[in-house]
Amino acid sequence: MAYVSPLITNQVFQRNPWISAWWSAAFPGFGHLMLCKYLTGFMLMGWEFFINVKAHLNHAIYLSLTGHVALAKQELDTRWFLLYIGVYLYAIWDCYRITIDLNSFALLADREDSPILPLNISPVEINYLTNRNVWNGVIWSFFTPGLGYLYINRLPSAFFLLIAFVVTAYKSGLLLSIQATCLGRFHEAAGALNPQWYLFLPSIMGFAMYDVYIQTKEVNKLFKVEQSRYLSEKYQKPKFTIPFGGRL
Amino acid sequence: MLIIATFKHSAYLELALKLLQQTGVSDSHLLVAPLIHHHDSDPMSEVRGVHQNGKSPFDLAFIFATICMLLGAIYGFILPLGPILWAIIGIVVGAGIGLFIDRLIQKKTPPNATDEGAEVVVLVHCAAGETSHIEDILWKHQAIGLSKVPSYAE
Repeated sequence: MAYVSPLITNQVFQRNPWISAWWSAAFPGFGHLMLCKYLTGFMLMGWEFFINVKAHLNHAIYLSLTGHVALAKQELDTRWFLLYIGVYLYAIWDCYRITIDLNSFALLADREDSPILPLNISPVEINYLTNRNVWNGVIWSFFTPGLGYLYINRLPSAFFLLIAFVVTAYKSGLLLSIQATCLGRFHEAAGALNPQWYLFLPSIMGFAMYDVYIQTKEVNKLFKVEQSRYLSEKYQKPKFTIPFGGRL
Repeated sequence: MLIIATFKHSAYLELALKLLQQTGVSDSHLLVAPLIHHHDSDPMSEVRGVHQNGKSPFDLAFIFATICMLLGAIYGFILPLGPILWAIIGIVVGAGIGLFIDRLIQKKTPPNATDEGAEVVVLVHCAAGETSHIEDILWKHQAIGLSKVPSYAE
């Protein structure tokens, strides 16, 4: 069950609900992006950036884990902090249940034969199915989260992940820190980083790489299914003769 | 002469078939059979995503890589090498832990081959004189294997 449009190849396929739930726990909204629910995902991502920054949550996590618990308590803005909980837990649970629902749809779809478009050309974009190398997308996503999505032609995810990464990279002072690290000035590297924004990065990068990995594998499968159907239809004629006197 | 060749799914396969038809192999002399690979399936467990046909070998690697990258990023502020390097170390260590755990888990379930091998079988019935030409086309388009079965009773 798939929708091949110029902007994206949207697919319903089987996955482990705990994995979707985990990525939602890493960053609310990402789980929904994995499930091709872009609007919900974007809303939740936007909310996460907003509430986390307002409540200074990442900074508090950083302070707590490095032992400055008293400072962490001061750092959290109690006017915003508790709002985090409801949406966070909802996002995790929602991903879990949606994955299970979509799994049953995917199973049903396997037994139907809904048409798959191998190539879609529109006035502004082209999308096509082919065998893609999984690790290409992952590596590009490591260097800049969001690029891997361009490789597999999932433009909404690419757009949003790129923006999220660039904003986070800028606000956290990531590039200054990278330069200081390369020059061996490790103290300066630590000083240049804003922990509030920097702690978004592992989730963004981890998710970008993982989602590209999974989606590429699934799009490859879609390609193979589509090609199998096409070949069966086109090249299995009843008049085929086998040289040993047989006939189909 | 019957030529049997195996391919993986790719655009090259379709190109090869088109080329074969253009060079005179007629519909009644060409058969293509895409292979279906066998998977054990228990519907309820598939819905709950418990059995993924033995695949998704790298899920845990990515998850642990993210977690360890986060820890590396945090502790990098107080450790000597700085947050960036510790974050990168975290990715590598986390991925290593994830892969290790995956290997442990996979020992319990029977290991399925991740590379499924040939995916499409192509049969071409041709006269003895044309075989080298057809073989050439098939090899050039990335055939995995090829077999020529001479037909004695033609």
